[in-house]
Amino acid sequence: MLGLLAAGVTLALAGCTGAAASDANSAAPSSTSSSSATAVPADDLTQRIAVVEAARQCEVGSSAFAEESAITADLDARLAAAGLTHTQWKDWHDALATSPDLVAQLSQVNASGCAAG
Amino acid sequence: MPGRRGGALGVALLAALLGWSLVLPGATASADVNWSGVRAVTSTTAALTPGESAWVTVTWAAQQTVTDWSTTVAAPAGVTVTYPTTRGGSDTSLYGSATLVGSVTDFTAFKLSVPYTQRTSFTVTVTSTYMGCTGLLTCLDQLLRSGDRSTWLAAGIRQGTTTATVTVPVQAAVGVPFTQNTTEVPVAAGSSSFHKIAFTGGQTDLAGFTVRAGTLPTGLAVTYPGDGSAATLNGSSSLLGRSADYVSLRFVTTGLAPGRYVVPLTISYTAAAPVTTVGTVTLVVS
Repeated sequence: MLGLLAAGVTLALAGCTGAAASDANSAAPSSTSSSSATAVPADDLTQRIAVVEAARQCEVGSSAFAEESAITADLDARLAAAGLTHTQWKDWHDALATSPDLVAQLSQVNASGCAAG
Repeated sequence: MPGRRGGALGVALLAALLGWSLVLPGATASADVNWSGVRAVTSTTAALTPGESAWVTVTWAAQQTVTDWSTTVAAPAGVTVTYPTTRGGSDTSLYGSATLVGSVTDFTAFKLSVPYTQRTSFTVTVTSTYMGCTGLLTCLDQLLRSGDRSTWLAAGIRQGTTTATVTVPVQAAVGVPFTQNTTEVPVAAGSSSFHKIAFTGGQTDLAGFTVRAGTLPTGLAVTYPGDGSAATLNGSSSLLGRSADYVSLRFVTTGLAPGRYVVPLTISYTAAAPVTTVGTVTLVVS
């Protein structure tokens, strides 16, 4: 009896999930196309940005900033030292949510961990 | 007992058939359920000193992408929390966006003002809310990005909440309380005009920062803005730590011949206690 109920639950879950998946898919065309349209491939430029961002994420926690704007100034100084601009970083940052390649690239950069000290 | 078990299974089956949110609409605000693997990476912020106001950060990570990020901070009595004005001043979010991408870290920033009386480390409670997939129904990250929020509930996207306790180390201040940047002021003989004398704060905030001239060389007069008895800072009444500001003094040089004149300054402020110290500025009259 319990087995039947469990099977029923499983089927029901599967059906519900399937229905939800259909709903998701039905709503997906715009988001899917949007996602694929805005996905940014990883390249040398995004690698350089990822390196800057990874280092910043490692070190920002140990800094106290006198002014809110100093946080951005710190980022911009790091970018400038690497020959990059804030706009390039912003475009990259905005693309992260829709670009698995960029996430994978950043994760790979992060894999080495934060430098000691 | 069997009846209760059967009832529970019935509820489970019904929930599966109708969708969890339809059976348990209250689950939409499951404050203690961390659906998306959100966690604070930071356990300790940058160190502050008694009397210091500064922006510190807390870094977050998530297994799944979440959005609509909002963080509030509860601090001990006497410690003031300030949020970015860009969000209205009642909360903070992540740097650059309100979305924390799965497998990526990002940080929230907020300002802490530590009173001079706070001489030991303290903790703050950092609470973040966000919208993310629950796993109860099929939920794709792309739905979070679609902008069509009408699909979120049906897709199992719910608000999550994560709370972390973070230590703020407090250590003694180092260095001078302030630096006087302007040491020479060029003025024309026979003139009467205001001149700026700039200062940069040390590590801590100095409240009620004022400057007035001491005993003046014969032929020189000094007045202050608003015909006050001393000059106050342009930006605020306090010289904020590591920030630059200036006072304005009117030098009336109608009785001075060209030359260099050292003008003594009396500088007053309140740190842990009221302080009065001295400085000088050299007038270069030409």
